[in-house]
Amino acid sequence: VNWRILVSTTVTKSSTTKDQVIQFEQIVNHHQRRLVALAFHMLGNWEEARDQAQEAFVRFWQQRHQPDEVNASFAYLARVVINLCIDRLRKRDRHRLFFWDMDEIDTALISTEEPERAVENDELKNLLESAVTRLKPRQKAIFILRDIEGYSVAETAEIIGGSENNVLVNLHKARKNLRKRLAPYLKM
Amino acid sequence: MKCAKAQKRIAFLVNGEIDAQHRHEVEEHLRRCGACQALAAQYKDLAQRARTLASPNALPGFYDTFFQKIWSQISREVQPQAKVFQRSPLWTALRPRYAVIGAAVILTGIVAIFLFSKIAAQRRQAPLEAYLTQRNFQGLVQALADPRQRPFFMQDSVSVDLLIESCEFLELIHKRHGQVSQPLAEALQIILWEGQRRDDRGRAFTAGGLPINLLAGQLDFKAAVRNIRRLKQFGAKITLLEVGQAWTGAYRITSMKGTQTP
Repeated sequence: VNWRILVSTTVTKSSTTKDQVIQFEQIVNHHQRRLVALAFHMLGNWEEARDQAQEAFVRFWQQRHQPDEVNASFAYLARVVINLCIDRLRKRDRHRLFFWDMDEIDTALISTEEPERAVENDELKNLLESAVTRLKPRQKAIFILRDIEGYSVAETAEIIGGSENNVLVNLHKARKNLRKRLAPYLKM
Repeated sequence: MKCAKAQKRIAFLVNGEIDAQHRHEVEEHLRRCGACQALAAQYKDLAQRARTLASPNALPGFYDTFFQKIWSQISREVQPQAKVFQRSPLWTALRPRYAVIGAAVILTGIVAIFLFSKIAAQRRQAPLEAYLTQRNFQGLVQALADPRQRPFFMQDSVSVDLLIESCEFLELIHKRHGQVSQPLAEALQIILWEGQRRDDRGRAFTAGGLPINLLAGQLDFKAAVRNIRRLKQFGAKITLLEVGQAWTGAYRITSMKGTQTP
């Protein structure tokens, strides 16, 4: 993934000009799909994912007078999106705690009449998606960045805002958790 | 390398996140261990499946108004609209989830205030009577030994009946266990003081008294009760005037006066 060299967006320190808006639109068009995909993996809902990605772009625009902050535009945007999604997930958890949303209980992993049978690829994909949604927010974010979207450990650490060691520790926990959940369906 | 150590590194090996030396060690272990080979295969499968989830596709038209929405939000913030309606803080406070938290906080506060006031009242108003009523003799010994709490015992009143009751209770313990512990013996010294005292009209009286020989462990409870009963002729209540140190090292009441009750 060569996102580092794709965009160099050092927005100059001046009032809004037409060029700035055009440049901003280019950045939005360039990053929107990857950011929405990240948010979708985190939240499991397209509408919410779009809202969080749009909010991240708004914040990016508001930070335009601090070029140092926005130089690494994708890392910055991805970090904002992930933090917004983590906040969103925590709010959901709080809501669930208060109102016991029974309708949100995921039944995807319950129906295992014949766990030994070879499940269809799409079915396993759904099971994996469902298992990923059950990870802790930070572990989930790191697993999505590294194992699903394929960023390097260093890039993941830069986006998530932590050390590479911390990324590896969280990755290990996430993978171990997922392997345990999906063990009956994974190839031996 | 043992399985436990290898299993921590298998996923890193599969995903190429391991240095050369460790990779060699784990690979060496995998050649010999079937269980770890199966684990490695599962991690490999998991890694491959995870990559298939990359870049999911939204429905067609999903991004059509993506930038417009961002720009309209930015424009709204640049040119603030008329003041928007905001819910009052009271309404927010009364929302169910906050109401539950609020009720819990208020309830906890009430219980805490009630408990604190009870403890404070016990310590400040009639400490001796409270300790005796609760049969907390050890607490009484500790309270009298504490210089911060000692002043609260001054001018404290206690009924003769309660003193007799306490004495009888201690006698019961003594009968049951054959002996009394050192703190209990000190408590006895405090409750069953002895010696000549004077009442508020200057008359001399024996204010309680316990023929006690701590070293021999002999206690004459009946004599003690008899002595305390004598206090009744001076009044049903006894007011404490002074607390001093006894020869055992414990603090006890050394001066008091009888109070006539109407």
